[in-house]
Amino acid sequence: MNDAMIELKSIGKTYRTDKIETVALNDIDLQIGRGEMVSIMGPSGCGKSTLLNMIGLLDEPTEGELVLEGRAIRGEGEKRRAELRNRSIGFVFQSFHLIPDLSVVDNVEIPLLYRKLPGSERRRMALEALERVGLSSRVDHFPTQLSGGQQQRVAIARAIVGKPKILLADEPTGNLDSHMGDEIMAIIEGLNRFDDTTIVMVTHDQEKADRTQRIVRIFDGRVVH
Amino acid sequence: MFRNYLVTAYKVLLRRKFFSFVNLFGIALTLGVLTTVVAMLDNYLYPGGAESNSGRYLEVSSLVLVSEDGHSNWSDNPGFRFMQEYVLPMKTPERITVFSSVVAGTSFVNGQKHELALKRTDGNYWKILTFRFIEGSPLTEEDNESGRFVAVINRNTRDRIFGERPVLGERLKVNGQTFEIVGVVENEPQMNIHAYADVWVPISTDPSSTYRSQMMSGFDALLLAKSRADLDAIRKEFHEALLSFEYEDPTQFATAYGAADTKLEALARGLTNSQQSYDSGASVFVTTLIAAMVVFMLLPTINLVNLNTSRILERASEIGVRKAFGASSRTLVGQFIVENLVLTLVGGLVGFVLAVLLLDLVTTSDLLKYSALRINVRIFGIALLLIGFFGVLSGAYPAWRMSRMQPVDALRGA
Repeated sequence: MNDAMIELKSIGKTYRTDKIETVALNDIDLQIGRGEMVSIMGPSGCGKSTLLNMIGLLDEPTEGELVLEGRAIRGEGEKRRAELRNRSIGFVFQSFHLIPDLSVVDNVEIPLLYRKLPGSERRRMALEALERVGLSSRVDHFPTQLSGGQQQRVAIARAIVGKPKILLADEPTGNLDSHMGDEIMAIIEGLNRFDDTTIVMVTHDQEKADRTQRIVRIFDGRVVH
Repeated sequence: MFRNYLVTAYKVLLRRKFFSFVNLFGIALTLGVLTTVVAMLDNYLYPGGAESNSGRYLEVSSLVLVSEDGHSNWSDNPGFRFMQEYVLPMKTPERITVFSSVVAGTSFVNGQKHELALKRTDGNYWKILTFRFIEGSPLTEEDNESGRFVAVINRNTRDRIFGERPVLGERLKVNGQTFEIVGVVENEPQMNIHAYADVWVPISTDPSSTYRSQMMSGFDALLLAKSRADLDAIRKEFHEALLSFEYEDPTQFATAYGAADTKLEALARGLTNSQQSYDSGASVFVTTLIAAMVVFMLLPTINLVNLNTSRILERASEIGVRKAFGASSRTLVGQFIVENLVLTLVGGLVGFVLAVLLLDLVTTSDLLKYSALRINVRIFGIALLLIGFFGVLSGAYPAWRMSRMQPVDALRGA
């Protein structure tokens, strides 16, 4: 696939302690195209989240090579990886990970804090992102004042505020009831359809996975077909 | 970005109110005490009032006589004879004054006893020290040479004994001697040790003339330089004068040690026991002082480091999120140091207010007479520096530990 957004070449991840060696990922080869929406499925502990963390540069593989937008990420320093995360990747976590001390709009602004943008521009972009997820009326609320679904929408607004090309979602509907889960899925699908955002979503839910273009199944740290 | 940091810092402060209080209390107390010490030193070393030109003169206020075999020595301030033979003939200073230490004076007026601090001076004393006269004029060299029984008193003595009214020409009896008042000056704080007294009279009015033959005890001298650049030359000239020192009984004392010092050097010389060396020990004194201040700050710093570390680790999820969305370790270290500086600044400001209150307490109490301890821009600057140093010191380690966290571990709440 020439137009691959994400390429994993023989990726492996082994956790080592003094006594134990745990293989979390083993020889993973995977290509995800630009604008594709892919779900990753597999039993608990099979390495789904580890795989997502590798793609999101939150963790480093012990073997293999990761290529993002045609560029190999190898030996990149911490600062450069932080820059790549900031510019190209947005994250949505199962447990939202909103900062409770900050208001909704301040939470959404976080990725923009690490770009050289004036405060007014950051605020404008954050409000725009909140409008997209239908939370314009809750900008000054605090996370604890919102329902789970609303919190996840804030998290999505935070993930997309910097207009990343890749959205990584780790069980984004895992903590929500089915109605709210559907709402969140609809927003994510919209991002893929209208913004051409490449989406990789880890899920346990076959129904949600079926709504993506491709399902990658992981078992015991390997891709299975 | 800065606003975001400040909001987080404020919220974190409110999250655990008791710990924040203990923290702030520790910072405030430490910085309050340090600022008070700095302010007192500053007021001593850079005095106002009559000693405001202290940067231009050196003092001769200690002398050590040592026997030939080095087994016995005598340490005190110099005597009048020493001043006459070795200090007054000096050529480099623009002016020299010799004056007595403060002695106790007693005055009975209308059956009431008044304790007074009495100082005996020459005429130059009033030309080197810049007293502010409320009325009248200073003592002159002629007063001293003719042994006139004239006196200058301070405002407090006037108000206490005569009431708030003009007193020129009035008579004041001190230690059985009656003086005509020729001048009234503003009170000089006790910390201005050269200028401080309640009553000043000519040296020659001393009821006993034995002071004239004494090599040791009872007198200080100030050597005014034409400019600060001359201070070193004055030091050298005095040092050379001491080399020619001779005691009437050379078997008893053979060598004299002393120095012409600035206020800092004189203080350091006393505290570092450097009376017998040319070097005043000022650099040792300043280094020790700074080291003592650092040690004094160390305990609350360690406390703050511990508290900050546990606080930061509590915020692992936030760190994970910030890292995931592009914050580099360096940015986060910056954020946590800023947060800590905010905390320290709040504590420091409380400490500063505490210092002002403490100084006010010293001023209003009778601990140091007529003291008017002031906080000036220099002290404020030093206090800010202390706060900054404290903030960075206590914030850097926790921030560094936090920055080493992998984003994925931080998100897991490790």
